[in-house]
Amino acid sequence: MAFIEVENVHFSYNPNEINVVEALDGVNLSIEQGEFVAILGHNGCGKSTMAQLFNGMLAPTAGKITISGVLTTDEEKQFEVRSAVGLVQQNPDNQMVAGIVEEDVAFGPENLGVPPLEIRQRVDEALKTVDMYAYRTHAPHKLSGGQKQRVAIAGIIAMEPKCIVLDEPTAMLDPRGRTEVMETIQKLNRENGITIILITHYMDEAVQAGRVVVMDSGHILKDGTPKEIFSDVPFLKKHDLDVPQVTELMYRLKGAGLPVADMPLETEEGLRMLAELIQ
Amino acid sequence: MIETKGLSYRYSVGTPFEKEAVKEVSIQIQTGEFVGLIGHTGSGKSTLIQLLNGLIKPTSGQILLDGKDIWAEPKKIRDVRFKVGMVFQYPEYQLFEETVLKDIMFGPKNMGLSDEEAKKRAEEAAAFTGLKPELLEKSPFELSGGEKRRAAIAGVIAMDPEVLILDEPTAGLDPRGRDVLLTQIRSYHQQRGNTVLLVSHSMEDVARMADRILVMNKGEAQLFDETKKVFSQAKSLEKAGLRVPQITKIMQQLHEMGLTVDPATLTVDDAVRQLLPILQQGGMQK
Repeated sequence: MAFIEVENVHFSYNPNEINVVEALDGVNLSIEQGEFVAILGHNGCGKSTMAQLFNGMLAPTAGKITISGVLTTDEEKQFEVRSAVGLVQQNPDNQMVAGIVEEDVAFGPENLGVPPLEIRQRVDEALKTVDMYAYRTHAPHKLSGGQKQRVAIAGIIAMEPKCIVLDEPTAMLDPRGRTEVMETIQKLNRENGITIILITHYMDEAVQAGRVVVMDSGHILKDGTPKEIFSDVPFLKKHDLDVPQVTELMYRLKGAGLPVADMPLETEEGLRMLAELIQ
Repeated sequence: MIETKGLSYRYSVGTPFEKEAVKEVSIQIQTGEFVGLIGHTGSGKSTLIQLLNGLIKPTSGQILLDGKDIWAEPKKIRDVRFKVGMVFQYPEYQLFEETVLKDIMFGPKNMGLSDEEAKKRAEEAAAFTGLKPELLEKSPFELSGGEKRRAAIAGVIAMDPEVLILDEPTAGLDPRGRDVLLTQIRSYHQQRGNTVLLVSHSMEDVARMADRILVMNKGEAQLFDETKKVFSQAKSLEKAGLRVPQITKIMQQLHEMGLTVDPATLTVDDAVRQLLPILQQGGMQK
């Protein structure tokens, strides 16, 4: 059994009404420990519902989700599930609870009943991981968006989760803030082995994942490597998604009859391919 | 025309947190221009737009709307807010009326228009933002996120402001929602001929929308020039914590490699148009 197992999950926000709207309509997904998965889809496709199901904030209307074999709906193990799967949301201002950065980060482990000395260690460690240790005594509301979001991530790390789900964590950030947060996510995945589930509208972020899942109308439509997913430009457009500008460029050149074999995902790769075409 | 002269603003004057958020900004925006405003968090762009529509009062300097200092008669500052309409970030959280129509009518009615006139304005504004007529009688809370955003924008457009300021109108929208909304803003701008100021973190969005771009950095207007000229200064933008769109970066590098392409190309369409003839000939054109 994989680390996270989603088995035939249905979810509806109004299960008792006549016109039941299924936000999720029979989703199956397995995620192994240490994977970096990006979930793509237009607004209303069910991505955010998925995010909240992973750590038991929402319970499936039908089907089941297990984290290391534990059901997310098991009330006795609720703490176990929520500390195994941390959730970072879009707006950093809604996630700050304390007046000082380090107290904010300590909030999670305090709630889990971690002994004070260990909390101190965990908070310092977490702030160093997201590169915010120098700001530990600052007021969160005076930080930039990217810094706030990294503090929110530190608060999750301090609970020592096996997995972090991030629901559009960069939607409100400027380009620098976005880069900071993406670098932090990469580091957590590579160096700390934390499983990452990133929900995003930004294609340049999705291409950084090891695996991309595309959703629409409560279904999973495609599941593959970024290369596999982004090579199928017509499919993405059909489902109201975008491709990185470099991919779009090569796709259009190919459409005009030029010998383009592969779709590039990043600037450098695209430039190499263009240089070959020129020669 | 909206103009600023030596405009400065300090926060928390007289406290240890005193900070000069806007420093000596002198700019002119002509009527009918579409201006993109970019800058990283803390660059002063939010403070600047709040100054432009009279929400906060400058510490020093002036804002002139059609040649008149907006603070010349502080009691009339409300009129300025009707002339310079502001759509805040995540405006959908500010919907409050029973129906979408009433919500959009709120602004025009506040301006003293009759119910009839306000309704006409609201319906027109809703059409501009692509809000379907059948949604107007619904409660704002029954709408989807994207529809709420449109309703909130319509509420400001309905006041028919001379200058429309939009603060990150596409944040959190999916690619399709973003495209549709930007297309509508553009057609609004073209049809009404009003001045539009678009604040965005998306370089791709401002690159394809704006005539001119204002770059704020550390409270100062670092650059204010035609869009192409601004995006051909990649280094200066990076210093301000910004970057150029991916397609511009590619075309700049191709230009450096000796290809006869425009290093300030802003859209994929334009890049394809330039690259096709070169590549189809299959040779480097010096």
